[in-house]
Parts: sequence; C-alpha cells; structure tokens
Amino acid sequence: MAGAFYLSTIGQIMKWARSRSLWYISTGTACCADEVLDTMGCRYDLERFGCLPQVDPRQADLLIVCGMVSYKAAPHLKNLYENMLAPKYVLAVGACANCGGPFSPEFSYSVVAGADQIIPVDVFVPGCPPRPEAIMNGLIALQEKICGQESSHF
Amino acid sequence: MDKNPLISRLNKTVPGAVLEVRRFGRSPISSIWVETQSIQRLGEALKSDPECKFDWLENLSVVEFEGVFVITYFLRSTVTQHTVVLRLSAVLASPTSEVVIPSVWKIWPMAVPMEKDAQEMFGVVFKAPQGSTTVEDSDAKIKILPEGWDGFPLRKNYVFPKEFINIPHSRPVVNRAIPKKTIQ
Amino acid sequence: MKRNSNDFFKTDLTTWEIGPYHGSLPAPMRLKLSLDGEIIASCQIETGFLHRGLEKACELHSWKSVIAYADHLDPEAAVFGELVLCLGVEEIGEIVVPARAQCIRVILAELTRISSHLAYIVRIARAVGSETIIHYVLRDRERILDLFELLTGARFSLNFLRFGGVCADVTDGFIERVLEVCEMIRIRMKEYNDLFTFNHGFLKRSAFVGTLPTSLIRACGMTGPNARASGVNFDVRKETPYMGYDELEFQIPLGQGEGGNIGDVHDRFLLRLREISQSMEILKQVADRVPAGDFISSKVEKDYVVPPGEAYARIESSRGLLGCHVVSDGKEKPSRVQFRPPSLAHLMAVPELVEGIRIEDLPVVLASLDLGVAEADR
Repeated sequence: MAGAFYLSTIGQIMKWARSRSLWYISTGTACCADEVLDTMGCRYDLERFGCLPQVDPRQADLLIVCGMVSYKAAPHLKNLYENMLAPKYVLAVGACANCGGPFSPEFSYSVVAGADQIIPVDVFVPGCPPRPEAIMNGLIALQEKICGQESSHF
Repeated sequence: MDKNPLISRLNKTVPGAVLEVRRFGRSPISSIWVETQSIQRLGEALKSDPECKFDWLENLSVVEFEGVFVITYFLRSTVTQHTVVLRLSAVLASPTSEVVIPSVWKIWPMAVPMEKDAQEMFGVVFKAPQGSTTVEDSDAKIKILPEGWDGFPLRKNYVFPKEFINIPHSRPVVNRAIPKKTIQ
Repeated sequence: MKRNSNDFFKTDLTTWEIGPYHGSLPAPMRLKLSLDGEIIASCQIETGFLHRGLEKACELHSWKSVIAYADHLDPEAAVFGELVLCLGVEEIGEIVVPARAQCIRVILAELTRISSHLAYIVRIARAVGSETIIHYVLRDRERILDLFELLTGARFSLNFLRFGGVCADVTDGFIERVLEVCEMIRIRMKEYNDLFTFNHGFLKRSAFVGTLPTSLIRACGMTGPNARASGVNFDVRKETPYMGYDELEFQIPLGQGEGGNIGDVHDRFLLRLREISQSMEILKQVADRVPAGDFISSKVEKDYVVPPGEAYARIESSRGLLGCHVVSDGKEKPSRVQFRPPSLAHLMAVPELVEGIRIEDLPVVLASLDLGVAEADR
C-alpha cells in the first residue's frame, strides 16, 4: 500500500518538479544558437519555465542540441551527453539537428544526418531556424512527456 | 592602371615567368598566367616592386576544370591600392594523386590557412623551399576534416562516404507524402 | 615561451585542452593551452567542428538554391553572404541592378550590420560577466529582427536577395519603421553607455588587454573592425565602392584608445558602437532617396542560367572583408563558389595575440575578436 502511494503520488510530484526545473546546456553551433539566445532573452523568456543556463554538464538535466553536428564533433557530443547525470533529456532544435536539414547526406559530406544517430533525442523541434515560440513549444512538449501526459503540442 | 610597365619590369627581373596576360572575367583587373615553378621568385618580385608593392594576398582559390587545377592568387597593395591576379595551372596525373606547387607562405604569411584549406579539400600540396609542406610547418598542422578522412572532398570525382566512425551517412526516408521532384 | 615574471609564485607549465563545447568559447573550437601558472604560454587552435561542406553543397544545387546556402555562411549576418554571391553573379552576367533594389539591399545590409554588432555586445557582456546589458541589447535586437520578418518572413536566414535585385518589393510603411527603429536605437545607445561602456568593472577587464599590434594585422591580413580599432584605415566601402556607397556620406571610425591602448578590447568594443551610429547615418540617407522603380532587373527571368565566366566580388561584412570567387561554365549548377571569409585571418592571429595574457582574460579576448567560426569553417 505504501509502495503504491509512493509510485503514484510522490512519483507524480517528482516528475512534475523535474519537468519544471530543467537546467540546460546548449551546444551553440552556428545558426540555431542565435535563436536559442533570443529565446533566453527578455522577450521570449526561457527562464520562466525554470530553465537556467549551465556550463557544466554534470549540473544540467537538459542538453539542447542547436544546430548541426559534424563528424568531427560527434565524439565530443557523445562525451558531453555521457557526462550528464541521469535523469537527462535531449532537445534537438533545428532541421540540421533533426535530420541533417539543408546539409543532408546527399548534399554534405561532413554533417551527421541528425543528432539522434549519436545520442537519444526526446523532442525534435523543426525549423531553419525555428522561431523562439517553436522552441518554447518544444520545451512544453518535453515537459508533458516527462510528466507522462499526452501532449497537445505535437 | 596600365599594367604594361609592371609586366615589362617583371619580365626583366624574372624572365620566363609570365606566360600570358588576360583580363580577369569582365573586370578591368589583369590576370597573369605564371609558370608554376617560378611563382616564388615572381611573388618576391611583386612584393618588392618599387611602383606597386603587392604585400597582401587577399584570396587563394583552387578551381578544378576538366582534370586541370587552376590556382588563383588575388593580390592587393595596401600602399598603392593596385590589384592583380596571378594564375597557375597544374594537371592532375591520376584521379587520386596529389599535385605539388611551390608555397608562397614565406612571402605572404597570410597564405598559411588558405594553402592548408586547399591541401585538405583538393589535395594541392604547397611545398616550401626547404622541401617541407605548408601543413608540416608552423601552426598549420591542425586540420579541418576529422582524422582519418579519405579523399579530397571538393574534387569533382569525390564520392561521399557511406559511413565514418561507425555513424552511417544516410537517413532512411519513410512515408514520403510528397513525391520527390527531380531536376530535369 | 612566456614565463611568469613574478618569481615568488613557483609555477610550472601545464597543458589544458578546452574541448569544442564550452560555455566560455565563442563557438565550437578546441584550444590546446600551455599554462604557466595562470599566464598562457602558448596556444593552438583547432577548428573544423562547424565544417558543413558548404562549397560542395553549392556545386550540387541549381543557381537559385545557392543563395539559400550562401546565407548560411555566416548565420548572424546572413545578408552579407547572399550579397557577395549576387554581386559576383551580376558581374558575370553583366546584369544592372535597378536603383530601387540597390537601396533596399543597402538598407538590409546596414540593418544586418547593426544586428551583428548588437550580438557582439551580448557576447562580450557574457564573457565579462555582465548579465544585465544582455537583456537590454536583446530587446533592441528583437526590433530589428521584427523588421526583417516584416519584409521577408524570416528572422535570420533571409533568402531575400536574387540575382538582379531582391525578390519582392518593400511594403508601405517599411521605410518609416526602419527610421523609427534607428531613432530608438540611437536613444538606447545612451543607455548602453551609461550602463556598460564606461562601467568601472568592464573597463578593468578590457582596457590594456588583448592589444592587437599593426604588425600582426598586416602579417595575417586582418580586416574589418578589428583592424580599424588598431588604426589600420581600410574599409571596402571606401576603397572599392559597390552598390552605391560612393554616393553616400559617412566616415570610417578608427580606434582612439580612450579606455586604454589603441587596439585593446575596449577600443574594439567602442569602435563597433561607433559603427552602429555610422550605419544609422547611412540608413537615414538611403531612406530619403529610395526611388520608384523595379525591384529586380528585367533581364533575369524565372530560371536564369548564368553565362560562362568568372568574377571575384568583395564586400565589407560586419566582421571584415568577405570575398567570393564565382566560376560558371554555363550549366545549370555552379562550377565553383569559393568564399573568402574574414574570420580565417582573425583565427590565424589568435595564438600570437593570446600569448602572455591571463587565463581569466581569454574568453574576453576571444569574444572581442568577433570570431565567426561558422564562416571560417564553411
């Protein structure tokens, strides 16, 4: 009886708390880094969702892959992801991080076709670059995914 | 600016280097075709030219044209605002071989990153007078492409790799709603 | 090798490799530092983490699509990549751009320059540690991005220029809004100056730090605001004017060294603030004289194929001299599109510039150079 109470109520509270305070690191590559910077700015505030920018992967829950991943950087991205402590989530922002985008495998020789070839991705946000509202939409979808709810955001 | 005095001065100091003088595209800049092995002496003559000191190498570009590499040097003078274009050509012996050109980085040190780029992308090796290449000298050892990359990407006969470091270079396309348009 | 001059601290040489993804680096790049205590003895830079194969992708697309790739060259200042490609192709095809399209292009270019310099203020403020000014500047940068969205529909990668002009005409009221935003930024610049520019904390971290000597500038071939802050008077808009810049009156600001030396971090910062003011002067002049007419040359039809030939176009982008060597062999795809990015020369100067400074000043010096590693790697 006590175990069921723990799993249901306290588990829900912990999931709610985790999703509302996702501290993130963003791998600022080329174009989408500007949009994530604007999302952090004062007009589209990312901090009201509880997201605080971090530099150290051990202190972060969320990895925002904004921009393309090249073959040279792929082992370093995997290293960054493995240094994060569980529970950890990944948000792939931009067409290049989803599937290669304009630098897809038939046009570019040095870009990995999507960040999910290297690390497991939870939410993909399409766009080139996606608007800050789209990035916030993706973040809310991630929050609902963490809480285990059905999302109306994708 | 009348380029003929410059060409006649170059012919006196470095005889046999200048092969042909043409217009560069549709602009008034002259493009001088140069004999490959004399590019270093010609570069020194241009840099120390009394009338127009060409001390700035603005751009170095390599173009592949039907198996022949054309290397173009865009020179500019910060003192007199003259511009000139030098061109070399080098024939590719076989599709996978490299091409060796004398390096100009001792004359214009800003050529180092551009020559390194050309070596990685096209396989055009720039050799300094001592016999070492640009990539072995100075800080140019570090490359743009990852370690272990095969082939020279910007050549026309380059085939994209199927995978690299166990990451496949392809994306399975599923449920394509809109049929793919081919370019006619 | 610079050794610590204070013999009281008996320090040894250590090496430290900062990997590509780090919060204090301006972009993914790898630094191999050799440290003597807290002073940097030597530094080696490795880039290539943003190499996308842009030039090869340009050869695999038709001429119209290459413009979309050219504006991904430098994401913060996307218009300059498209502009240099269009100028090169117009030289090959001998296309005359109508006056109205030229004015629209100048407006977009100067707005992009202001937006790029505002992003520079954000980056250097983050490096120094001042979080307040970031939000002030981003608030104003959003107004410029709103203008881009009003005209083109996109905020960053505009894809708006075409060979022979621009892709659509300006809407009613756009020019008035440009002037409104200019006036607003002119008033807000006073706020930035009060809050940040001559702030004691920022001055302590930026004056006399990272001085760029003219010998290094000439050896590496650096251009742009970094060179002008050290006194090298070179601006492509004055040397080889393009796009109607010779009819406009504007001055090129040079570094004066008010905070410390000529050519230190504070000087480079002040120079970019002055360049924002100059860009606003240019915008006011152009907005007065936008003529009626076509927005694209009538010679360019829907599927324009560039005739055989080649050209080299150079423009003054927000980081320096951006060049593009375009070669066409008359087919529907380009034969070669080669970009000459200004940041390649800046990256070459970093190992020598960084020798002898303290490790705490490294993010500030790197941010002050406005390194566009995305365009250096292409």
